[in-house]
Amino acid sequence: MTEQPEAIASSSRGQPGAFVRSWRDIRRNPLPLFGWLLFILLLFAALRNLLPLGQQTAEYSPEQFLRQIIFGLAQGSIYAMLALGYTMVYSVLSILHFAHGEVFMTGAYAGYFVLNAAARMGALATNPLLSVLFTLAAGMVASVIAALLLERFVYRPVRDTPPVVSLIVAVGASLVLQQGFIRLFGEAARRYPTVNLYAFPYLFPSFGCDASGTVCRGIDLLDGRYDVSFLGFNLRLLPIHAVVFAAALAFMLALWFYVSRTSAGRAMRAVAEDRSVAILMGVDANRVIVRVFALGGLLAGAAGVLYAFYNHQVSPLIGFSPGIKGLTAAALGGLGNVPGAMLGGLLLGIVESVAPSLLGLSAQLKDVIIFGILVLVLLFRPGGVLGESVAEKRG
Amino acid sequence: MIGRLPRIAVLLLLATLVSCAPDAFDGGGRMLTANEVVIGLSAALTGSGIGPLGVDILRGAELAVAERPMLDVAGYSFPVRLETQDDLCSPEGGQAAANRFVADPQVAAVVGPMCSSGCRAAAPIFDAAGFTTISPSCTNSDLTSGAFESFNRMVVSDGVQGVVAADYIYETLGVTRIATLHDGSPYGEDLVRKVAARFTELGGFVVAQDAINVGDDDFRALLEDIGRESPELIYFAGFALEGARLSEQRFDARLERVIFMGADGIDTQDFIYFAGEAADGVYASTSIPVLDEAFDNFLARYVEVYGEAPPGPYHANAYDATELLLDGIASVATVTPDGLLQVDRAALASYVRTVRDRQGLTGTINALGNGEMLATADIAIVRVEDDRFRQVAIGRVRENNVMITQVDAP
Amino acid sequence: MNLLDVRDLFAYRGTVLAVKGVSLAVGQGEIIALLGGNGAGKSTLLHAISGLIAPVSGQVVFAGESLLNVAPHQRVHAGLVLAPQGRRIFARMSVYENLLMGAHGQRDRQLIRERMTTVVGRFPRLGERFRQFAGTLSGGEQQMLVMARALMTQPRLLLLDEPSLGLAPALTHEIYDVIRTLPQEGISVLLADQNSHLALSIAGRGYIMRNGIIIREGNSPQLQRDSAIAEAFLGNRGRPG
Repeated sequence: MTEQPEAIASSSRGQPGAFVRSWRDIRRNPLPLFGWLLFILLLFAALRNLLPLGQQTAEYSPEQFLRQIIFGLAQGSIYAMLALGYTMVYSVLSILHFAHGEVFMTGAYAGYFVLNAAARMGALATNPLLSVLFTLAAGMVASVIAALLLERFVYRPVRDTPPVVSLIVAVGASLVLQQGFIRLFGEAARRYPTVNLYAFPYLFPSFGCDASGTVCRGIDLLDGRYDVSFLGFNLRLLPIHAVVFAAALAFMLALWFYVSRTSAGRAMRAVAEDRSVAILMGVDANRVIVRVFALGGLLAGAAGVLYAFYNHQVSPLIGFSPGIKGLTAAALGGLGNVPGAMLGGLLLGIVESVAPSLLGLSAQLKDVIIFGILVLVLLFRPGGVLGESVAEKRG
Repeated sequence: MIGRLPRIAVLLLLATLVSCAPDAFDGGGRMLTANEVVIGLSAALTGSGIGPLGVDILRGAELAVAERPMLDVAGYSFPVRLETQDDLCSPEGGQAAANRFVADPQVAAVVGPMCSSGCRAAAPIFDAAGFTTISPSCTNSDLTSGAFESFNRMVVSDGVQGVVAADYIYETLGVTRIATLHDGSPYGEDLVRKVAARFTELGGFVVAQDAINVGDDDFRALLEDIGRESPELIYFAGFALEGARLSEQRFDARLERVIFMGADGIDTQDFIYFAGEAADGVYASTSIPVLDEAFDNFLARYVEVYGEAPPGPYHANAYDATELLLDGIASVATVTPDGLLQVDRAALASYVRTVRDRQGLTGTINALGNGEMLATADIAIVRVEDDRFRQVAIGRVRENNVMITQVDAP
Repeated sequence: MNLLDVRDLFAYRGTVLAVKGVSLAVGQGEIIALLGGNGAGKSTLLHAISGLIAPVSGQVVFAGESLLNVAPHQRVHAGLVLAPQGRRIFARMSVYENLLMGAHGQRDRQLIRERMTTVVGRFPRLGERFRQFAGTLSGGEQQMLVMARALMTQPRLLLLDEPSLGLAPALTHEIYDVIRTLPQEGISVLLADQNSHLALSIAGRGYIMRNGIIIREGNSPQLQRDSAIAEAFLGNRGRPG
């Protein structure tokens, strides 16, 4: 084994469970078969609902499908922003940053205090843009601080222990943050004040006009809803959906550029692949890891504030569900893969939104569907949709 | 593994022994001896959208105790005290609270738990210990089907509330197509069933039925789904947080013209805070006390003591439940030669289950023998106007006939 | 003054005390061979010098300065670099990016370009594979990349850990030809290799390690004879690590 190229070696190795090749394979590992059967079942259920085959009182129209996809994209963008954090931390440290949902919650909470103060002082009415930007900044700063504290006092001490230790510690940290917020600020949920932030009067000249119709301020970015006809579809569009989606996309692109095109990003990938060799090349691994947590916190904070603008209620418990979904999204897209995390998040949001109607199931079951799909995907592609290898990277 | 097995077996054996204990030592365990009268109170005192309901219950009970700080039994006087447990409005919380009360040798009887899920989980524990409980708010109709000896409620069952709500929707609002949603709790599931059954009976159509998870945040896709059946009203049986989200997000799913109606679970100021502008015009059904002078006095005292209007609907129910328990204890208790209070739990239970024609704030209390204390009571239909729930109608059930009277704005 | 002075170094590999009181020196412009079989402690010694392993006791002095309190990544910037054993390239980066990693921290693009040209001049095969993922290179090319990447740091002292391990003879010679020329560029080399004959052919002096201690040191011709004896005697070759 002197000169055998690695590429051939790895492709011939294949991934267990990737394809069903023969009856013998199935007998040895029946999981993919079950996967296919489940997939066919789901497909059948979806078809039954899309095609009007009696019993249905009102058909599930493409229009409704499109509307739900739009809702799903917005929620999915939040998941995507969280998934980016999970995926980065995982790629560098091979740990599941379980407290990331609480980092997200920290941002939403910090944003609440700033926005509420702005509302009380009247700044929200006089200068909504500045208030919103301050809110966003506060959320991001708070989340970054939370993430850095977690890194320093939770993850670093257990960095070189078996993964299960860091996982347990992470779950513990997540609970501590949650309970800490409950003790500090109470369990009661709070409501983000409604913000009317008008923008783009030139692009949308006939929107946001006052009673006399003389002054038009454009569309309301955070609290507006507008009925739009598009290609024969009647849609109700919320600018906040576009804001959340654009933010997620911008963050993803910036992150992708950072990781793949800058020297700091290259150092990050080096640490991800082989920390000790990266150190041997003069990379300060600690600094890289701190940077990764800070970036993850930044995204989580932005996601937290946007989430709260969009869903209004914040409480110490709001981090859990988006946190789990973000992690799922990261796994779906392939842990360690930046575009994969984005794709996974959007996919998850859309599936969550569309699947209950498409399959004719109760909305109560949407989490069951999501995690079912996660199992399915991981069965076929253990490395996630965008197929990054999650095999052991270090000895 | 093998080494661990016997230990587990021993533990199991011990657990079985402990759970058998009350039966094995019958008599001793069912006779309470104490130097004071302790009433347990189990309600959810924390939690968004739920806490205010529990705080309201606690205050009702406190006011009842404040009126009778001492209980006289056979010439002796015993101080009365409330012992509070947070039951979190969940099965686990209800169970935990019940276990603490049962283990406390001082507790004579319990007001609570607060939510039907908690009541269902706690009842077997109270049954086993021979306790008497009166819930001011567990409305699930199955609870009184005869399975639980310990369970009583000072509130009408969902049967009554659901019937009045359905009648109001069909007759008064003139709506013929409704969609129902519940939050998966026994309370929500049962209430929705009652509403749907009555509404269909009246001739209306339930065009969509679905359920949500407590804690979910984005219901827009679900509302979109419901919207394709073009309901005129969405009936939601659950609590304030999810209610507020649904009510608010229906604007995003083009359902702003669809009426939103909830039940006593959302009849809190919290709902209005969380729903914001989307709270306007939301309806809820809720059981109300008899509006008489006694209640007016009670309400005045409530506002005087706590400095605010009741944040939930169950203060009078809790007051009546506490009062009834105190009366029951006073009438069945004896005093031991060394001056201790002694209560026969069985006697107390039968006292509560045989009360007849007792006037309370919530109406005339007539025990049916199965745990129902209020066969009928008035159900109010309230509606949010100017950031407050205001009564718009009162419904009364008399032998399967529903009478709805409009209430003029005060 | 020696470029590198190791004095009485003790270091653990995991739970095993693998280096037990080693002293050695590398002078400016020297190629020093570090010989010994599997498990002799060579890698541990190199790791301890580069800082990846913290020694339990002893001194590492580089260019007159103690490295005791210098973080491993800073030692690289001081001019001390280890090209580790086992083709540890960044498989998911291109060859170009791998080489850039060698110049990490260097902001002067012109300088990086110059170094890149020099390094690729030494290993023309890498130049042909510039945009390929390093994981797709052959074993020999990967070994070259490991060395090239280390040279990109422009070290004063290069620690080489088994550069010929598992390579075909032709490639081994290609790599050794490069090592031979390094002193002319002002790069001293500490070369650990199991192939003692090959290593001593380019080294001026050498040390033989066994079980964590240095059992012999001397100049190459002397050790040529000795090591042949030592190998026959001590049965070092092929011992499981």
